[in-house]
Amino acid sequence: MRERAEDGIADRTAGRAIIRATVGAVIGAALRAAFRAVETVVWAAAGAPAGATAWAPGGVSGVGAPKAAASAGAPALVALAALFCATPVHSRTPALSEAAGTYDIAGSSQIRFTVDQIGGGGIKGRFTKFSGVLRIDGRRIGASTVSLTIYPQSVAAAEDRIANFLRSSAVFDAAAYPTVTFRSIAVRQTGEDAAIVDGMLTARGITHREQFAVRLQQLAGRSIAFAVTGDVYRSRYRMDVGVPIYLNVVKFDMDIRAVRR
Amino acid sequence: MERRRQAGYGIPAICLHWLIAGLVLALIGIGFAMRRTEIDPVLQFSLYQWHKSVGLCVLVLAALRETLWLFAPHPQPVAGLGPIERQASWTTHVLLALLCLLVPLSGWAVVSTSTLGMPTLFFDVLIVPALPLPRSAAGEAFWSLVHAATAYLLAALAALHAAAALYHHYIRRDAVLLRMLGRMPATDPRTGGHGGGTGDGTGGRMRR
Repeated sequence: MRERAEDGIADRTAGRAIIRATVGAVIGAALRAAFRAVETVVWAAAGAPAGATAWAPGGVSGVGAPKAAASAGAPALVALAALFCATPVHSRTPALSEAAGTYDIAGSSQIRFTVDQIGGGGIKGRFTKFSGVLRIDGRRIGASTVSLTIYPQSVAAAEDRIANFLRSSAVFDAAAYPTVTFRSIAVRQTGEDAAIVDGMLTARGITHREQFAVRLQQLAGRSIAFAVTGDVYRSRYRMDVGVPIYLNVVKFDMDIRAVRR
Repeated sequence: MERRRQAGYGIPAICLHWLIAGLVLALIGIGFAMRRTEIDPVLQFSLYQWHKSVGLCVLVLAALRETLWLFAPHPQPVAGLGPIERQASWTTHVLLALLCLLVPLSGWAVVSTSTLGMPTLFFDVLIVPALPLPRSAAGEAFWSLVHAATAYLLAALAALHAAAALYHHYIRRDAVLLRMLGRMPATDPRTGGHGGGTGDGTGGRMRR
């Protein structure tokens, strides 16, 4: 029964994720391929290192683009072809490579999570106290790092009794383990504005490797915003109270806002 | 059938009676334990789920028991009861029967009106739907009060019921307790005695 419930949720989520991923991958890969082509031509001629800047002139769409995009890192010719048969999109998503710098995670960020329950509904919570640092390497996104510390004592939910339960020894055990930390160990760029971040998550003194999908949302002046999503199995951290009424999966949905130092 | 009607309860009625009695005792124990403030929260969560599942069992078993009571032959009261005793016995039994339905139902109502919206998963297997009641803090508080009040009343009446059974067995030495243990009284039920017992409650037990 639980399996089915999880499957149902997984199906819906997967459906949306596939659409998002497909659209994102197509646009992102086409953009990247096209930009690399231009970059190679222009910067090679100028003698400057590739990736010094990353302003992608417009987007691509149309029938020819997906084919070119499908083979990420396609030869420059294919990319150029894609660029030429492309029409510009309305707005430009900021590219990760433009965002180089060190940022402090701002208190205006939203760190939300949901634990679904059988039969619909579930627990929605958020953390109000946290801190962290992002270091974005403009030349090599893969060398970027992120560290985040969450104070589970600050957990908030629809009702105090839920929040108190989450703080208690049943879940976060905030008195004994006042912090939950995430330290990235690998960043893999998956699109012009997207990356997959792997890292070590420590909660209740237990550390496991977890993965989050990161998408750059906004880059304005010194501030930057990311949408971060990822699923974590709570049983790994001995927080499996309430299974199977409440599912094992904790779905994180974060708006991380950070300010450049 | 007529013989059973005179002599005592049938096996189904006896089984249901003791099963319900055991489960109600367990529910009272779990109920007190899970409301302790200093309890381990993981244990507390589990106890709540057990309380809900066992409570639903009692609801179903009590409904069965009472259907049996209404439609199957019921033994005559033992002889030697005064009119007041008969009335008290009848009232206590009817109240116990009603409370065995009312207490689980009000507990179900607590779960159904709770703003926590927590599902009931019967022994971690079957989803039990909420009763069609609006969820609100006030509704939850009201039904919690009803649940607690009826549960205390049930506990008090069950204690009275047990005390009366022991009184009949040890002081009056009639068949009231024995017939619920499945032992037919040796003497004619109209006399109410269960043989020339030794007085320790065992010597008087007769073979069927």
